[in-house]
Amino acid sequence: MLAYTAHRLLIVLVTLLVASAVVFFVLEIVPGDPARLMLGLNATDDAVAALREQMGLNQPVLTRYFAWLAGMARGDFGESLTYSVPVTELIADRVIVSLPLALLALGLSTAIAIPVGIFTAARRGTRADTAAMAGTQLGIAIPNFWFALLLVYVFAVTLQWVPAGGFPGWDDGVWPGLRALILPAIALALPQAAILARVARSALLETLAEDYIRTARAKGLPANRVLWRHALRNAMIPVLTILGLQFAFLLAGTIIIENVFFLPGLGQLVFQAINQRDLIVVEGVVVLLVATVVIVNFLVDLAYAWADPRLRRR
Amino acid sequence: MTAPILAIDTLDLTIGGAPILKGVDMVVEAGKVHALVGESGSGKSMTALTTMRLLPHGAEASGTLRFGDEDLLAATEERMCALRGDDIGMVFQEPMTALNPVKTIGEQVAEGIRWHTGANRPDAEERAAHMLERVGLPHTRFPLDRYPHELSGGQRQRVVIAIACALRPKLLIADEPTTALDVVLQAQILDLLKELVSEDGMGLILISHDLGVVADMADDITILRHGVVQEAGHAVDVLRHQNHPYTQQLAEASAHVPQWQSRARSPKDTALLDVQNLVKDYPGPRNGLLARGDPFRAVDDVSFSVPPGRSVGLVGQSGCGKSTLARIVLALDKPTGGAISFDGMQTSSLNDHDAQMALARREMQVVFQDPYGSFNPRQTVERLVAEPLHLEERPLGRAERRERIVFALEEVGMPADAMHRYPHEFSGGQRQRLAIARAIITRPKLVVCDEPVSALDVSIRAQILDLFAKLNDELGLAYLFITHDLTVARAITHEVMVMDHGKIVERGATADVLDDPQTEAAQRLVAAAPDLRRAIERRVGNTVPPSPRERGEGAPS
Repeated sequence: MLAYTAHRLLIVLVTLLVASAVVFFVLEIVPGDPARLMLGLNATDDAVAALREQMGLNQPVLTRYFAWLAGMARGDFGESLTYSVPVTELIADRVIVSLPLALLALGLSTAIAIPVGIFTAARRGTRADTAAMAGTQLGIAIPNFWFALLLVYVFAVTLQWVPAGGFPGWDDGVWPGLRALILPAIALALPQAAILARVARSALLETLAEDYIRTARAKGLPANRVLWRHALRNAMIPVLTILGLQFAFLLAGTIIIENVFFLPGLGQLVFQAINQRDLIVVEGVVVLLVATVVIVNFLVDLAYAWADPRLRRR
Repeated sequence: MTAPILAIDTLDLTIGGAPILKGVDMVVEAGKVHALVGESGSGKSMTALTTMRLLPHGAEASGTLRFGDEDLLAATEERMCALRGDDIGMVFQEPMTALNPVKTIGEQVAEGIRWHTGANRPDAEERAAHMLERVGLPHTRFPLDRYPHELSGGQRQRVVIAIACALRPKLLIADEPTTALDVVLQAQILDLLKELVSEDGMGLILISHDLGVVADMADDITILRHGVVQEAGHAVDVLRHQNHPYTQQLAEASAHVPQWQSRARSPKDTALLDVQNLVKDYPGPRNGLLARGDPFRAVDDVSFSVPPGRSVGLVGQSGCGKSTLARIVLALDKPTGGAISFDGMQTSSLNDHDAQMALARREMQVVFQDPYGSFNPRQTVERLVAEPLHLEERPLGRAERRERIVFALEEVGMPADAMHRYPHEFSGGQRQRLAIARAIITRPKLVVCDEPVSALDVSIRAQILDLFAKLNDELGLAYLFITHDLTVARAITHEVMVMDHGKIVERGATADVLDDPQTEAAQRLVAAAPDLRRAIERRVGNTVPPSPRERGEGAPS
């Protein structure tokens, strides 16, 4: 298990290094001079040259790459071209919205999907199963912005239980912040839960047809206990795979929901940065997202090994 | 006469309305082995699953299954859960998949003990350790925290037996417990079952299609066909006298030797396939970040040749390297060392895109054990059988292509109109015929056969062996015939090679090697191979200890 973890960790480091190089050099090729962009179209060539010198843009590209890497290792992502504030600060402001939102949505989706998956697998072919599966079809088909608007109309406008949008920050305690995230989290979780429930159901059904399930039944264990004790853990691998993919999506792919609820999240930051050609910010966010995906996949790999002892040897 | 443990009375079973069992009667006594024999689809396994009440959805059973003083068919599911694993244990056919891969063997044996006795974990584990010791897995070598994937097939079957017998059930049902194992492991597992039956005095229902195994093991026998009991009685009597025509038919099929002209023909001096000093290493397990264990030598300095038109058998225990050797001969895998020449071509040094490789592949075809797994279910037989034709130098015209397909199908005894149908429309034996048609369509000189009949029933097996003999006679095909079944080797090979731990340890004319094996590995195989005639002779001759019925019937001859 130790060798397995060390091996995976090595892969994480190599992947991060390669990904950072790709991000850096791709943005290097993109046309547009950051110094001229910062100073605007009317700046004199002298002023641009001076700023280039100040930003270190005249140094060889490898030197700048390593300086950039070293900076990131210290948590210094450089300074935004449009806002003239450290990128780290910009990202941090958004992460405190996006990360809790992603975790909340993921938790909700898991909490709905796993029980639905188990319930439907245990009652395959019954009316309850058919109805639940039809429900998941609907969950996948409904566009989440429409569902989000529906939530706002019912719970914020009509019932007035939660605010319709905006984010008060965490300064006044956990509850006001959490209240603002509940509806967006539900809107995000619904389609994810529908997908996850279907995956969990089919993985469980496949597992329940295995020979060792029959062996467990022949021991005298009732069907339900066999499902919990023998089938569930074996069916975890596809479920974990989907969970890992969903987390990465939920962290930055939520721009529509952020817009519906006026949330200052990472999705909006990326969108604005791209519009304004603020490449330093784009660079920082992309590296952060790559790192998150790689680390989540690492955790998923560890979870695989937990679920299946056959994988621990590799 | 002991009291019956299980009395099945006029059991009828339908699944989805289709009749599976019709009026089956059967009585199992304590301390006795009751064999349930029949071809696949005869209802053997369904009789067992009815007894366990683990039938698939849509199954409806009627009749009575008296177990002690209750009727199992009338018992509640709750009551069945109390009986299963405690009073009735079951062992299945496929040990590789019968254990949960994510739980340790200790957990899996202890689980039933805890569930039925309410014992705490340490007590249950102690009992589990004791049980594993009884089935030949001492905890010094097989600690409880081993996972199934760390054990071999034979060891896993021992774990399954430990699970089934942990609570000393009154009745044990073993459904083809050794069919997936090689003969040596089969003999060991059967001995273990015999031992448990005599020590614990339980009744054993042994489901098998192998009359040799049955003749060796069983006290009583019930022979099923299409869900109807054909003959029942004392096993040795039934198998010795063979009064019932179906019993006779099964016995003949299991010892079937094809009519085969070329058997007597002497071999040519030239070699069609010549293998010299072949070695294959597989990388060892990863021990650390960069370290690897010693490589595993699957094939170790093997040399042999196959003359044209000759059938050469390759026998050995599972894991001895037979299939690896076959893969390398077929150029599906690269050897670590050594050379292979086939029909004058150095195939071991050819690459996949060489023109000579296509020629070699055309002249050397393969038939696998499981024909269904090697067919794409969405393609018609026409496409499947014609598949190797792309190896031809020039593309064949429509008419010629069709002619070749019809010829291949006729050679294997299938009608020409089979080509418009799909694989699932055929039975296992017919599918194996189609696989053979596919192998001969390029008019090869050598066909490598990897256990081609071991998934088939005895009567189908006899027909397929006849087909192999006929093709050898008519087309002059040479075979490299891989099998662990010595009866098959005896029926269809001129010469046989015995493989053990990657080496060929013995080779000679088939009858010589099998009648008088010289090496320890060959002797082990021959001694373990079940044989109907020998088993009956042994049991009729062996009067100690005679059962009352045996004393009347099978007195020393």
